[in-house]
Formats: sequence, C-alpha cells, structure tokens
Amino acid sequence: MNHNEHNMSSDGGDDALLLQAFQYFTGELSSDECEAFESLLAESQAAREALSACVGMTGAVLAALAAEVSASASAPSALPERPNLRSNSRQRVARLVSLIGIGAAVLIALFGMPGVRSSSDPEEAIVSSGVDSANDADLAHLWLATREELAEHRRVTGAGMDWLYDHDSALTSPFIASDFAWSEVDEGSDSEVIDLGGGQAVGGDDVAPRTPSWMLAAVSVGEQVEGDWNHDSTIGEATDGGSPATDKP
Amino acid sequence: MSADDCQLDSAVVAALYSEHAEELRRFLVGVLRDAQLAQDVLQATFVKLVERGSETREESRKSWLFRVAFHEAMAIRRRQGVGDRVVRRVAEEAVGAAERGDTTEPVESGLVRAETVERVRGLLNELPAEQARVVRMRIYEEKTFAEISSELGIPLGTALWRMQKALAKLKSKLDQDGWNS
Repeated sequence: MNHNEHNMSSDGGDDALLLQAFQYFTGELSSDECEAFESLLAESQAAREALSACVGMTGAVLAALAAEVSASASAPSALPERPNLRSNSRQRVARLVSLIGIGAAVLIALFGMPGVRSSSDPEEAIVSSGVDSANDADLAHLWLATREELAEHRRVTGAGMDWLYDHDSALTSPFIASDFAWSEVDEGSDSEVIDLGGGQAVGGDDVAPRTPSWMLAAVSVGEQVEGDWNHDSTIGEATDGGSPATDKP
Repeated sequence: MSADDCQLDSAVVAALYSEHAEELRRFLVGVLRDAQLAQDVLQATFVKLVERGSETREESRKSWLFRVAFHEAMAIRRRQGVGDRVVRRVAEEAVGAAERGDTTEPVESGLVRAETVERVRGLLNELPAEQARVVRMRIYEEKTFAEISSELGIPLGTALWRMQKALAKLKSKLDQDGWNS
C-alpha cells in the first residue's frame, strides 16, 4: 500500500467531514459517533452542507451506476467476458463454416459444370470431371482441408455436426447459437464474402445454417470413400494422405 | 410589532427557496432518511422563514434555514425511528427522477437532477480505479466498509480513505459545476 495514501491534504479536514457525513447518512456510525455528529450538525454549517452533498452524491452515483448497468444489460458489449476457449471455438467455427462454403463451391463447380455427368457417387463425379488443372487441384485441397476441419471439430467437441444443417438445433444449441450471435454482433461477418473467382462467391457465417442436405450427404459419402480418394492419382498430388483425424470412424 | 411586520416579502422567500431548497432537502434526507418527511420539514422550514424571516440577517439566511430545518428534523426523529438501510431508498428516488428526466423541478421530483447524474457518471470514470471500486461497492452494492476491506484485502482505513478521496473529488467537481444552483 502506498503510504502517501494516508497523507491528508490541506483540506483534509473537509474531506474527513465529508466521509463522516457519508457514514452518518449510511448508518455506519456508532450511536456515540452519531450523537457527536448531530451536535456538530447543530452548530456547523459546513457539516450540514457536507451531509447535503453526501446525500446528493450518493443519489447521483446510484442513479449513474444503475443507468450504466441498465444500459449495458441491453448492449452486446455487456455480455460477460468469455474465456479464450470460447473465443477460439468461435473462430474455429467461423473458419469451419468458411471452409464448408468453399467446399460447397467446389461441389457446385464439379457437379454443375456443363458436360459433367451427373452421378450419385461424388467420388466418381469428381474423378470423371477431369480434375487436372492446378486450380482444380487447389480446390480439391481446400475441400480436403474442409473435411479435416469437420473431423477435427468432431474430435474436439465429441459432438456430431447436425447443427450445420439443422437450423433449429443450431439455434437451440448453446454452443452454436451463442457463437453465431457473437459473430453477428461484433464481427459483421455477413459482409464477409469469399470470392472464389469466376463470379462464384460464398458467404461466411450465414452459409452454415442453410447448408443444403445434399451437400452434407456429399460430405458424408466423401468420408466413406476417403481411402479411395487418397489413392486417386489425380487428386493425390493435392493431398497428403489425409489427416489422422479423418481416418477415424 | 404585528406578525405581518415580521414576514418576509414573498419574492424574497421564493428566491431563497429557489436557491437553497434543493440542497436543504438533501440535507434533510440525510438526517431523516425519508424523502417524504424531508419534504414535510422543508415546507415547515420555509413556513417559519415566511413567519420569522425578517428577524434574520440577509447574509446568514442560508445558515438559518439549515439550522431551523435541522431542529425540525431532529424533533421528528425523536418521535419516529429511522432505518439504517437508506441508500436503496434514496437511490430509487434519484433514479426515478433521472429516468423521468426531471431537470426543472428537482426539489419536488427527486434528490438529484438528471444532468447531475450524467455528470457523475462521467466523473466516476475519471476516478482512480481503486477509488471507483470502493464507491461502487459501498453505494451500489451496499457493502459496509468492513465488508469492502475484507473483500479487497485492504485495511479498513484504506477503504475509508479511498471513499473519502472519491467523495471529495466528486464534490469538488460538482461544486465547480454549481450543482446546487
């Protein structure tokens, strides 16, 4: 403690009177002290004014703090400080969702290309689409990265990914609902758009709840055929054999 | 000399009321811990001023008002008890007045004006953090100084000193703004 704290200023007497008045007002003086202070009040205008000031300041401080608490209760910034784990989790989900969007774009590019044979087998579709350019290899790499993120998330949280496509469960899940709420509030992520070139663009966070079921089915099927994927000569250049996490059932 | 001869001119009384009633009412709340009683005593005090004001010297009228009000208040206190936990009641009044945005008639509607509340809000942010913490704990959280010192792990004297310094700073700033006028 700083010893200078107790040094009285030149008007320390007035300050002490103020504190005494405050204690009198708030009932923190003993009965003897009360009597003594009331004797002072009977004689000293300074004491009376000090008491008046204390009452006014107490009321003003209370009103100010109450207004502050009331205002902050309705403001997003009033949300309690969240631990880093939560923040990391939010970043992870945001990144994950972005990658999902990229993955979706890849699928759209592959399935939606003119001349590409429609197939119920994503593996067959990808292979038969002739993925042989550097850009396509990059996209495939992104696609795999997305899948790794999904598997990593499942491994970390131990939870399924139903929230990605089940809008209701996304809203009711405290983990996801709060994360999206934060994303909407303080990051303005709606405006974040990933440009894939060629006029293709996918949004950020708002993609997740609307991810179509067919895409998730594709993800699911893709996991089942992962082994075959990694042995594919065309895609293999863009892969590193898959992550350990994706090898888990 | 008749009673009418002792009475102050109504314009003088009105001016004195306008100048001192707000501060006087806060003082009475401090003594009585009851806003309604304070208002009653305030009225009684000014009735006495009307009746006997001409006996007072002009330069000492403020002090006279406070002295009369104090004796009136003590007489009432002897007849009625007062509670200890008064802060919350005072707060409700002050908050109510501030929320209603009463700035024109603080004496009738609350202890403090909305503009004073706003000013204090800013001043609280200017206080050193350790002083602001004590102010918040004592006034808003209604903790005693003993509880505050225990919770913060500081001597009781330090808690009191921080409160004293905080009150002094607030009062000094508010006085500069002329919050009583």
